[in-house]
Amino acid sequence: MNADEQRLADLLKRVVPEPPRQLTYEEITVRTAERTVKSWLLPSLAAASVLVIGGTVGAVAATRSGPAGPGAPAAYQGTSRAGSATPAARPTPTGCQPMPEPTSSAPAGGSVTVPGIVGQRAIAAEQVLQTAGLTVTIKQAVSPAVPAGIVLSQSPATGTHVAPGATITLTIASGSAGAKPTSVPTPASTCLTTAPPAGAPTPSPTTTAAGGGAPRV
Amino acid sequence: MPEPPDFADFVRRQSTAMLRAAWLLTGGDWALAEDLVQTALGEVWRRWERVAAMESAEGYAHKVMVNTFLRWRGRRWTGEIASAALPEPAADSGAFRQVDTRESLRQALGELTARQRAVITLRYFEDRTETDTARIMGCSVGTVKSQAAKALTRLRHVPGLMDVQRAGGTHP
Repeated sequence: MNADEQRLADLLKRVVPEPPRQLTYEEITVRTAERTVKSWLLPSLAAASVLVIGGTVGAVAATRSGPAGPGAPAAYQGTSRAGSATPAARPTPTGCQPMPEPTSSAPAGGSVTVPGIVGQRAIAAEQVLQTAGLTVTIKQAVSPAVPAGIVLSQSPATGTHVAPGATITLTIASGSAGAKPTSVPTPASTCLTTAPPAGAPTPSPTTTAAGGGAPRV
Repeated sequence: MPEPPDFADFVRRQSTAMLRAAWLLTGGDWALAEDLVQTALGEVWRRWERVAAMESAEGYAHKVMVNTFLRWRGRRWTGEIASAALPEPAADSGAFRQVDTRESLRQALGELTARQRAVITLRYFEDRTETDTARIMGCSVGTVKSQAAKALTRLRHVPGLMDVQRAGGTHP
């Protein structure tokens, strides 16, 4: 450095002020999670609503056509089972409900790219994955640094191509060691324990229903 | 699951340094500086498991910040640069008013391009080598040198800063 450069370097260190406040870990993680959810949620919700409408039309058509009739009631049965299993958590069944449709309709796409959901809140992450037609399994891990209910890691990784309906394992922060299992992970895991049973019997009836509906529409 | 090094701790240690650097990058705007650091640290956090394993997580965070800033300039910084380029008040106030050092630095920064501010910040505020600065900005060492030279020339032409530099008294 020559003399001018050195003067400038000294000056900068003296003159650049101390920040008026510190950033906190929470505002960074929450903001990042919200941004990620926003960028994913809008397109995926749009896709989900299209699928739900398509599925409904298919189900109605199937009911009218007679032979496929049992298919539609079976689909509804699955959803109501999920609802009755969790009477306490009202929003959870609604969160789970759209799952069968995307899962069963997704095969049309061939393969699904796993979205990045690390850092999001568990519920939001779950919605994103389910909307993408994927199944979710949740593990919990103690991480004092991360607020409870935030996704710490995912497997398989972002960008991996998987078969529709493939299982994505999320590791969720459960807060500091020994802390109460907070409200955030609980509905998520309730949703998941009920979802696979609901999802398992559902795909075949719904698929037949949607398959029957598609040519008709 | 292996516990990654504490991201909260990383934020505590790095946020002051990053905010100050961001203040320089953004031409002395705390709101934009906070926005920039939050965005950069958010990126770091999303890849934290990988970043934590790096030799210099701190260097990576600064790199993300500078690159985010250079990407942003097309969008958010256009208005700011245009308004900062008003020449007359800077010239007059330097001559007739008691100009606060910080204020004249802020005005001087406003006359630099985004890349020049990035070079100034990395090279003279963070004391990085030319090679390091070039690596972070993704350009050649020659570009760092020429941008630094242009920035210095411009800063010399800012009356307030020039006087302050002379009055700084730290030079031999």
